[in-house]
Amino acid sequence: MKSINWKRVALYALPLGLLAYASFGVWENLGSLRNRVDSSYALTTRNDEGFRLEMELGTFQSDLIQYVMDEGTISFDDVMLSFDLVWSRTQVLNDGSIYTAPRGQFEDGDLLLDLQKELHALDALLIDLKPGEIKKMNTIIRSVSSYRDRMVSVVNKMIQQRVDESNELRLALQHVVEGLDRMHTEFGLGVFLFVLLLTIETVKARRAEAKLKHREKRVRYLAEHDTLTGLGNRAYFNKSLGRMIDEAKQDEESVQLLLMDLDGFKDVNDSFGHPVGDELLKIVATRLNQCVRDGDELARLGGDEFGIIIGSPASAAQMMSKRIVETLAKPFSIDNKEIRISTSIGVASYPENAKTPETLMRDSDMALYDAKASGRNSYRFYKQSMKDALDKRKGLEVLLREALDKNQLEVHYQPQICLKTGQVLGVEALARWTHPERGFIPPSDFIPVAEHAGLIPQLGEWVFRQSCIDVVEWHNAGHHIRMSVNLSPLQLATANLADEILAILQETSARSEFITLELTETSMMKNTRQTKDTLTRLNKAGIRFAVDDFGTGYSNLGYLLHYPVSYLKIDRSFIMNIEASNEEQVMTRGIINLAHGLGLSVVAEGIETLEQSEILQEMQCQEGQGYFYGKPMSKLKILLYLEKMKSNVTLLSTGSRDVMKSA
Amino acid sequence: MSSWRKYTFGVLVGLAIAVVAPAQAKELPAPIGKAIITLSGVLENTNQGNLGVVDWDLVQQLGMHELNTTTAFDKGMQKFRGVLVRDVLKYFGIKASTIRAIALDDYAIDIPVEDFYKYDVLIAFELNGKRLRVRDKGPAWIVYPRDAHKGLQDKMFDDRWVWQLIRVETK
Repeated sequence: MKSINWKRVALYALPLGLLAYASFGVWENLGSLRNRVDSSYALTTRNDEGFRLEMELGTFQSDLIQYVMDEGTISFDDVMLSFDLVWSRTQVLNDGSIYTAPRGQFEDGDLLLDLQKELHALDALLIDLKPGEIKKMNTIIRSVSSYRDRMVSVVNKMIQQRVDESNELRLALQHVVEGLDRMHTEFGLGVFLFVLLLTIETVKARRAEAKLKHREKRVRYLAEHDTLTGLGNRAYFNKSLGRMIDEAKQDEESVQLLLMDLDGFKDVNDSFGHPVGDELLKIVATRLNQCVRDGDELARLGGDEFGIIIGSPASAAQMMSKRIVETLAKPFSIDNKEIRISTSIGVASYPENAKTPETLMRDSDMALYDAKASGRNSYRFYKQSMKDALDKRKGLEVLLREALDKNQLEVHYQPQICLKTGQVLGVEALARWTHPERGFIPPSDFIPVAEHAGLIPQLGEWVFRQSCIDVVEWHNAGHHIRMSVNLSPLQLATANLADEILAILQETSARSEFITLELTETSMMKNTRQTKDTLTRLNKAGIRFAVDDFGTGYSNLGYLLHYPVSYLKIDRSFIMNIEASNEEQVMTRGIINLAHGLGLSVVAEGIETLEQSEILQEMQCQEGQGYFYGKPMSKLKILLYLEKMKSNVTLLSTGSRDVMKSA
Repeated sequence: MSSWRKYTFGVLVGLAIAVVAPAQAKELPAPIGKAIITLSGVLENTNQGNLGVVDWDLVQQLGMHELNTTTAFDKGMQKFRGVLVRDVLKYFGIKASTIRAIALDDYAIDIPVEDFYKYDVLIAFELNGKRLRVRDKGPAWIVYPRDAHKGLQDKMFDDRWVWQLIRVETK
């Protein structure tokens, strides 16, 4: 129930009131008109008796004369009929109430009463009147004539009065007619106001409806569009995809779904700020709009993700993808800054790859993932192998989660040795997974899965905690060795990494000066500001840092000065052929000299032979690790190893091959 | 039981008459006495050529009713006797909605016929036990039961009291 709009009711009441007022005027006027009609009727019907009487007296007089003078032409009965008519009218005028006005006028000397008396007298004379009795006739005529004379002056007066009265009546009627005119106007005005009000109401209602429709349209627009770029949003895109697939199904045609995201968009936001990032998205939207044709659907799915649906065969999608990759690779100029990004596109086709919008999205997404994984700035069409790889990854992910929950993972340790003395200086912690049914699963298989599933922080934390617990145990056993733990770029991206690490140190009572965290060159280059803060903070707490796989990644060595790094770990690829390749030797020597120049220690990775070890010693490389010294081994094995090595240190320092082998 | 049967019979006869009667124009018995009023115009039944003539015998035949009333033409209460106007109209089969009443002195007025069905309006022939003469506004006078109906005490109705009535025409 809608509440009553009293304002509107009052508004309605106004013209209705006017209408009622006008109607009241109508009744008043009608009442007055009725009175006027009555008086006009009276005016036209009364008084006749006066004229009639005067006339009848005349008739009687002429009948009488004809009867007396012109013998036989008129009967006595006719004369008496004329007389009776005069008689009866005189009687009515005297006795009746009907003709009040004429009687009043005849009151001049009681004319009518005198006449009635006179008629009685004449009646006696008439009764035996015979033709030829002229004397008698003259007596009667004299009497009648005197009354007729008196009556004529009265009649004249009456005529004048009638003229006056009719004049008055005419004016009165005119007044009434004017009143009717006014009433007409008032009524018309009322109706006009009423109609006007109705019109206003209608217009208002129509306007309100239009407003509502506009608002609905706006709401629908907002619900289906991205406000930044003006493109459709994800909801709109999903709807369009459903529609286009339905249409294609009917027409037995195909649909291509392109999903894309911008490579390095996050870096743009981080480096230039969000306004620039937004501006970039707008320009990207414009450029994409130029790549699509009528009938294609383009939408921004969120963040830097865009989607295009085209109702054409795969060849068209290929052309469009190529064009988009090229178009977005061209530099963007925003705020006088030149920004370069690239894009990755995944394409899936209906009905070749998938038959429903959901599966088509999934396939396209997989293709996009593949495009990104294979170096970005490219497009990929969905292939079954992608799904197989994904399925494998998914399966592994389930197992990995389970393993983390059930503590099926282990940390193995690879010794790091002083090349000169053979003393064990430390160990590198490495995650190992042996599944109860599947057996050993190499890190190269499960680490990418953990990365993709977002399990790296959890895994990293677990490895770190385990390593700390173990190193404390060894320290308590008298083996004061260092502990090196790998730090993934994904861990570096978490804001409170330093807090977590320090908390674990406290929790396990591990001493920070024995902890080294290993990072790759590339991971140090990401989130430079945050990374530097984290590293500096941990370094102040006593933790040292090593650059892992040095020499394979970033070519800008400036970062070595930028970060608190203590060790360089020479990548195994340099060591592998060091005996045979002069170039490798030159490179390795260069790295070692560089490190020493900067005051850093060097750890050689992947030493497999004594020869390699000797060459590195000759190059002044202090430390190394590799199968030659020991594979990664379990906590118990490493403890045994440490015990053994401690007693053999002196032997090792002489470089005995046999002893090394036995380790 | 018997009264019910009589009633049914009456209704049937009435229906039969109602169905048959209007269909044929009747030639009524010719007047015997002197004509008092002459009716002309559209008459279903006539008794003299295409006219309807009211004589004293017809008055007796239709039956006289009495009406005591004051009038606008005399002083005091008057006792009239005469026939109901509607009886005369019915007798001659007059279906008009208006009639024109005309007097000896040529006074004429139109009267709606509904007056005669709404009120017991008489054509009076006797006043206070005596036949009306011309001198007494006779020989016939249309009189309304003016005392019985306040609405009749009006100038408009007073004008329909045609005295010295001699002719009636249908409109």
